[in-house]
Amino acid sequence: MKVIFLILLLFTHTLIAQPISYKGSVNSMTDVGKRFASIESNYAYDAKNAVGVKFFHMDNNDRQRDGFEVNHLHRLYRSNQKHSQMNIWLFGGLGYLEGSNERAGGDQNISTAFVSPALQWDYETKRVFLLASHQFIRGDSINHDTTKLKAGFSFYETSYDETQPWLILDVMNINGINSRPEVTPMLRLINKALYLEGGVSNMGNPRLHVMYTF
Amino acid sequence: MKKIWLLLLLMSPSLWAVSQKIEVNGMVCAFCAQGIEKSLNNIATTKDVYVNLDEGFVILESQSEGVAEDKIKKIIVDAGYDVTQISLIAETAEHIRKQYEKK
Repeated sequence: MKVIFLILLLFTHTLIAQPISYKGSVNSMTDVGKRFASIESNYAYDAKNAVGVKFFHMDNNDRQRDGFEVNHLHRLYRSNQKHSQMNIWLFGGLGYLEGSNERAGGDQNISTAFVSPALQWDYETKRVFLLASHQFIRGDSINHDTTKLKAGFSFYETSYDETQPWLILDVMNINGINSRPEVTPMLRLINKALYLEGGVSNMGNPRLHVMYTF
Repeated sequence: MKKIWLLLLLMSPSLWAVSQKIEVNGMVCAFCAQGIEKSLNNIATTKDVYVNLDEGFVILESQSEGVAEDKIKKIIVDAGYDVTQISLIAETAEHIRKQYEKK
């Protein structure tokens, strides 16, 4: 699994925050934390649609999951204004995961196919960022529905070539993995080619998000 | 002397370049606007591209003649943004870049 992650990273052309970039682009997103880690790449075959693959790992000490999915992303709606952008995204995937439950009480291995339909809304200006998403992750006897909320602001506006610092409050809950929502204040730095996000959650878990455009 | 001036003028790169100012809606972050810069740079005649996030415009400087507006609009829309206006301007992309760097 680690080798596949590395290969995906090496062959990534563009890494961005939004699920789909411009037509013909290859995008990858990573999220690395103690309870949840993922990497995904997708290819935008037109301005509104992309096909991709995603690997993820979930772990709360008692339960562990390793999953893989093939997905389709669709930009349902975009509003471009002079100083803002608003999007509604529709995702959907088919995948397979395996893992174990309550290892302390004896391994109970599971493996199942799953579906993962999701809806995301985001709004962005040069100073404000808001995001809300909900993803159903359902398979035979598993429910890892994931809810994400992000809100933040930029300390100041920058030109195209300058580094822009942001403070983002990230709230994430994974059903069956988190006992309560994990809240992470994150410092985000965006340069033209580099995207760096890091913080420590209210549960003491460090999270890191590094992206680069080749 | 006149011949030398004429020769210098003819050799001036700006004489053979055309700049177009493209006003774009929704261009709010550098990370996303890279798609526009990359796509415009892929046009064979492109000489220089300048992206101004603050004012929401892009300068496309091309060799010899400007790029068709329909082609520019398609590139911007494929990158996920909307074009509100395209106009020809006399300045080069570098000239505009320096103007805004001074501000």
